Amino acid sequence: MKYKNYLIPEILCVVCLIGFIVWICILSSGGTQKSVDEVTVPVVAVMMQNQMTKKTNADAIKAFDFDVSKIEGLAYYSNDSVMDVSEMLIVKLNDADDASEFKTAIQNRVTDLENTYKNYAPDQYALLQDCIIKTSGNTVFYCTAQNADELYDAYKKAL
Amino acid sequence: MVFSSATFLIVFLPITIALYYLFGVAITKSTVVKNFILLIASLVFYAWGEPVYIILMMISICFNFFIGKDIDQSKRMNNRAKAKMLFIAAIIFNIGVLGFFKYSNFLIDNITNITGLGIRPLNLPLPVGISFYTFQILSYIIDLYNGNIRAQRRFLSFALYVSLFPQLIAGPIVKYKDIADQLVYRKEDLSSFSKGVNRFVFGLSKKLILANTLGSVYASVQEAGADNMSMLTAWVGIICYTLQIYFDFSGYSDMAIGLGGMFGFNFCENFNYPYIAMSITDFWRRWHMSLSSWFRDYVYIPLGGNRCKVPRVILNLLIVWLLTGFWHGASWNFLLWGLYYGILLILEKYLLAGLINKMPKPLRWIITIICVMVGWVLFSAPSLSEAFSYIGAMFGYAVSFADSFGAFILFTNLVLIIIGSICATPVYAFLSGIFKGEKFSKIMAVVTPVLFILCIVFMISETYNPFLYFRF
Amino acid sequence: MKKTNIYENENKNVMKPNHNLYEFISAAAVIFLLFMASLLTFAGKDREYSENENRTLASKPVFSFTSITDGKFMDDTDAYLSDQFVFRDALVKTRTNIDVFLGKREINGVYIGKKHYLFEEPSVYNETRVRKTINTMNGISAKYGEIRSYVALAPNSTEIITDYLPANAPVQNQTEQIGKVYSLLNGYTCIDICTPLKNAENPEDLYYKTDHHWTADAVDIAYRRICESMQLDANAYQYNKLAVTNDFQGTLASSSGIFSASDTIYVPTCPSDIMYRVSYVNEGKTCTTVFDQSKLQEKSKYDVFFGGNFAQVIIETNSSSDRVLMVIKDSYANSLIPLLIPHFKTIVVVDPRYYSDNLNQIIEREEVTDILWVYNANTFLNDTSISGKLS
Repeated sequence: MKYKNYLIPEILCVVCLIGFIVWICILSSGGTQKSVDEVTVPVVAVMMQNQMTKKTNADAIKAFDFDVSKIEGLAYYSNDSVMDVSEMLIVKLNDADDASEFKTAIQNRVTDLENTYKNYAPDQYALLQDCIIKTSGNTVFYCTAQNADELYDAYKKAL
Repeated sequence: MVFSSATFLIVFLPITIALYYLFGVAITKSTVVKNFILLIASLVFYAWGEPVYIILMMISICFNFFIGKDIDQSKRMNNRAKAKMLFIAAIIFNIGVLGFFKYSNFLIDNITNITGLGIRPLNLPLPVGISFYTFQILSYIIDLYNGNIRAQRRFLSFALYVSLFPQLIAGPIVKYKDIADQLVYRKEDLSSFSKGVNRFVFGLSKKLILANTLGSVYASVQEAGADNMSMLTAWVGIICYTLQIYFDFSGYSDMAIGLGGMFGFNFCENFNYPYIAMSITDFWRRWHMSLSSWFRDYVYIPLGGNRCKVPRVILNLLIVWLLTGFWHGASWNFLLWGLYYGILLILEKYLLAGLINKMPKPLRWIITIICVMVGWVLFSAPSLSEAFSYIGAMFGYAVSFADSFGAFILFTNLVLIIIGSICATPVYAFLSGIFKGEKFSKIMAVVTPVLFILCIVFMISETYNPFLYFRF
Repeated sequence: MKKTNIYENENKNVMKPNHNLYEFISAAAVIFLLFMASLLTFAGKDREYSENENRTLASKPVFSFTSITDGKFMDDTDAYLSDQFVFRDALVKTRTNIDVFLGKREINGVYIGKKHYLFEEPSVYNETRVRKTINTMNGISAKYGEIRSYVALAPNSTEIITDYLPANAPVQNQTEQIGKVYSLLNGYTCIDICTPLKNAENPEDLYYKTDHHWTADAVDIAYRRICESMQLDANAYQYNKLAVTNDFQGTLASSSGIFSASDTIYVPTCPSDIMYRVSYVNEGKTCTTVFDQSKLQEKSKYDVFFGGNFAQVIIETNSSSDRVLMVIKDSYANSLIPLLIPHFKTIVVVDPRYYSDNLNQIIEREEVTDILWVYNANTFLNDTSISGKLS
């Protein structure tokens, strides 16, 4: 009987597996060395006119109830009108371990806003439901907007 | 994709049935074509829920296909050392993948807790069904190495075995040796198709009508929290959960077996009325049978089973049950749950066997079902401390006997609980015995389509989401 | 090989039917239904809006690489198919009927009571949340000590119409909750609305059957109680009740999906010698009535009062009074304020949920002499918008 060599496909599979694991780990961790401002510029470029205006860090901390000591830098943009919930937040942390805590804080704010708008302005409520909250390593991105996907893509590229 | 979703029922299933029977059964009559259609359907099914992890499953399929052939070849050439080496490599690969994706977070968390090292958890989401398909692959590899089966020569058939959508994401865990022949040749006939459809509807009803509604009762109990819970609330909650998990899981198995039947497969049974068990041993002969038989064949017996001295048997049992617990999920709750059953089974086997046999049957049943319910608390609670305070509440530790919330959820769900309890017994066989023969079939011919309509009612109404923007 | 007794399995076939014909008939019926549901759902025209659910239904999902890889496409597809499912409304209605038939008395946070009465599940007292609100309120009374400040928290129907609650329904003691809030307030005259409502002759007339708001009868009682505390003469102005609709099906009907009863809305008629002008500040709209009749044609008929909730509404009257009242409120106040109009020179109505600036601005700008907080207990206990509205 002829002996077939399966070693090469086997090794190939193992290589693929390792490649896949590395890829998925990079995908789920990430993070950046760049400053928040560097990351924010290209994202702001994607925003529509009059969609959001820059807010101070104090506004952000008041709105999200963040722990200031854990933040390295942040950028917060939102719409001034009560009838428009569009907002975007990029926050870079000193320690990536705190990311989940910040994610929860953002989630809490979104829930509060949802409760306010749920029975009042269904279109704004729908935007909140489709909001993006993503962690990549030491940076947390949050956006509620019509074009949140575009903003997120721009942010991803800027990292 | 889950079976109880609109996408599955009105898009995936009709298309798959139509393609399979049109091209596979009517036009070509070829198993290759049938398998090909099912494989594509299965991959779409998996990718629908796991668009990224499908790559992982494909890699796993390829690797095991090749190494399986390699092991087979080495065995036939009497190259035992190589076969053993390949076998170990395959085990490491499969256990490694499962361990990495399912258990790495748990391990890292605990290492961090114990040593204080700041290793960052990966926080990868768990690939759906990985525990099930890994165990299926392992059954193939182990049986191959033991010489019980020959390697699958067709990649198509092997890929289909691993990814077959009916049992892909929640079992039953079908051993390769049980299904090998059906992968090569199977005949679809009207009778097995009809049986399959009816079985599927039963499973769907268990899931949508019973499990989901009972589950929402338990969810409201959990929301209330164990802190201000009365004994009554705790019991109503856990009774609902006990019924929910049975109908959820056995309903899923029924749907899998039914779908298998529709496509000419004959899967093993997975549940046999576990809640009528008269002892814990009996319970585990009836609950998730495909998993227990997997552990029996591939862990317990290779460890020596019960043909050793008593201390070794006890050790074997503890190992098997810790693993069984851990298989269900990466947390201390599940480990403790496994250990709990290991200890109960050892007690039953060595200490209490005589006592149990002397007890009247109703008492045996009550003790068994209470032990099972306590087990489910460990299983369902989000953390160990919450599990213990829930168990405390069940037995009146630091809580009141009853409150209005407990009475409210009991009385407003009483009918549901009674229906659920009845359906958890062999009432079907009982009724078919009463209405002799044809009459019962006639009744069921009406009841089944009505159940199906009810399933759709329950499925769609769960998405009822009214906006009340004039609320305030 | 001897098996261990732990694992001995007997694979009994669960279904053992003998009559293939009937099995085939039921399977054929199921397959027929399956394909029909599929065909009808896809053949039917997509509905954009659901009258029953009062919302835009999901539309066809957008297909793109990212929407596939992050699973959004799949979620959207599920939502789309469920929303556009054939006979969706009828299916939902059937479910509600089955639930009620089987004895369920709580659906979507609504208790299903006797005689078609629906009740909103009461809020629990959340210490930290209430504390934050109280701090802001106390801050205002401390900062403006010269302004007369009043608080009127209204109980909800679970507290008043207890006879029609489903048996054993878990409720909160709102009298106690409100008492607790009152005890934490400083510098306020706290107005007890619970007692007079509880002592009313026909408690079942005080709340709508299908909506969480209070009716004109309850408003009248509360109005008299508030006048007493604020030293206004409730009998100085006579008003009549005018029924404007009798097919009102409110929020509780929508939430639960139970549309078995309708309510009548009464509005008070204003004394003829009182003229007033209403300005909606943010909307830049002015009119001469607090009633918006167009809302009676819509589903949200309670919005006949003020047309709904707005951030800031100013009512200027020709009353001889020199008092300027600021009402900080939720929607319970919408039906009460019309009765207060004759008693004040100006009434500024602020809804903190939609008013994003600090309250100081308005207090100072309008030279407010009286502040009245009107909330129902459920909304007040859940509110997160009052805290932080003081600079």
